[in-house]
Amino acid sequence: MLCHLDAAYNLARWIVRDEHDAQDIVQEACTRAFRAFGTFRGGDARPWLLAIIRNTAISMFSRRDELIEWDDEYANGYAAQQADPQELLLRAADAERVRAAIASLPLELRTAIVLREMEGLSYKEVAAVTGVPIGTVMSRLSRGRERLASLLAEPRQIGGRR
Amino acid sequence: MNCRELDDLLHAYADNELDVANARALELHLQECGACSNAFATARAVKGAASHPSLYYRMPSELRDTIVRQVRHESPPSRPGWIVRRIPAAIAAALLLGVVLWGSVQWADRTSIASADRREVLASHLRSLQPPHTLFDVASTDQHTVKPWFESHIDYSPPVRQLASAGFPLEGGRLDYVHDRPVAALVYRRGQHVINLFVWPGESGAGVATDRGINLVHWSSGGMTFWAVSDLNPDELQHFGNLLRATDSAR
Repeated sequence: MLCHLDAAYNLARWIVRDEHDAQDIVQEACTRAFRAFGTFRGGDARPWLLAIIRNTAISMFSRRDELIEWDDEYANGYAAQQADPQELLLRAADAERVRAAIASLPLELRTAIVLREMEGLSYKEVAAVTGVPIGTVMSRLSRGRERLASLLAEPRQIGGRR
Repeated sequence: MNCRELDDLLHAYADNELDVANARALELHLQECGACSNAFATARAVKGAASHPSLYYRMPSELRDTIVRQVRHESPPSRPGWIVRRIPAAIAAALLLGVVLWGSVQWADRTSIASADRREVLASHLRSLQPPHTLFDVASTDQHTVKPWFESHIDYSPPVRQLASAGFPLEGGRLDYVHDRPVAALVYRRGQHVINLFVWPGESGAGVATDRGINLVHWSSGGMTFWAVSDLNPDELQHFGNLLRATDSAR
């Protein structure tokens, strides 16, 4: 468990987008995880701990509107701007811009992107951490990336959208 | 291929998560479709951007220290009044956890095939009970309805037994996925408990396990592998497995 603390913090940080809230979540989640350690039956401890982080974050901050926002608005009527991959590669080099773009994604898309791209979890593991079928993981990742591509393709700076 | 429907597959392909048949079909399509190969290049560029190490938030060291102290505080045995505030105790707790984790990894390695199967069937079982999912593709208590349904939907024929007289009524079946392959899942019930029975060709030993409160009984017979998965208690689940094995060998 202790070797996955960075992963725990990174996920919490991206879910709540706030340093202090993330610290509270990780502290609370680690206490829960340690008490629940008896229920852990081998395998990789990282997805197990990340699922506890996600659940803790949601239960601690579920009253905050921005955390439980639903992403239907992006599911319908959202037209992906055609991005030029070459141009995108240049913009992608601007880490702060990429950070702001990911932070502006709806919670479920953001979580899927963080678990897959930053943690390198398999679809199956992402499904286990977020409690949805693999098909849902697939569509969240594709929607998340299409939205990121559009955000990065926009000419102006996108920081502070929310 | 319809480009609109390819979106998800394209991303799964970029993630190396597509099965061989779909991957091959997609590769052929990408060679001839400019829009899709552009979308694929975009997906890869975004993947590259989002996985950049500078985006990863590492835990501040003060927080790490706090948590290590916390975990040590929680860790048994803690006698009242026994004050331990020093680093060595924290290290001991960390080492203890490390040993536990290492041990579980070793154990997992030794039984890697069975435990990979176990994780898969457990995940399928839990998924089948979640609301967006359906427990049945074919809902019928009649084995003569369920069996032909499988014969027309999967390339092997799982044995389908009615065990209602023994208190395990058959309720139906569905196609599920284990290691990305379609497999037969038969659904039985014991009182309030759902039993998923996964069946696929090939023999792979036998065993019992408990994982996150779910019991699993696993056996091989007649060239098939069987996994019974349920929150039913282990004894009754074993009994269920024994009944099926008995009817199989009496066939």
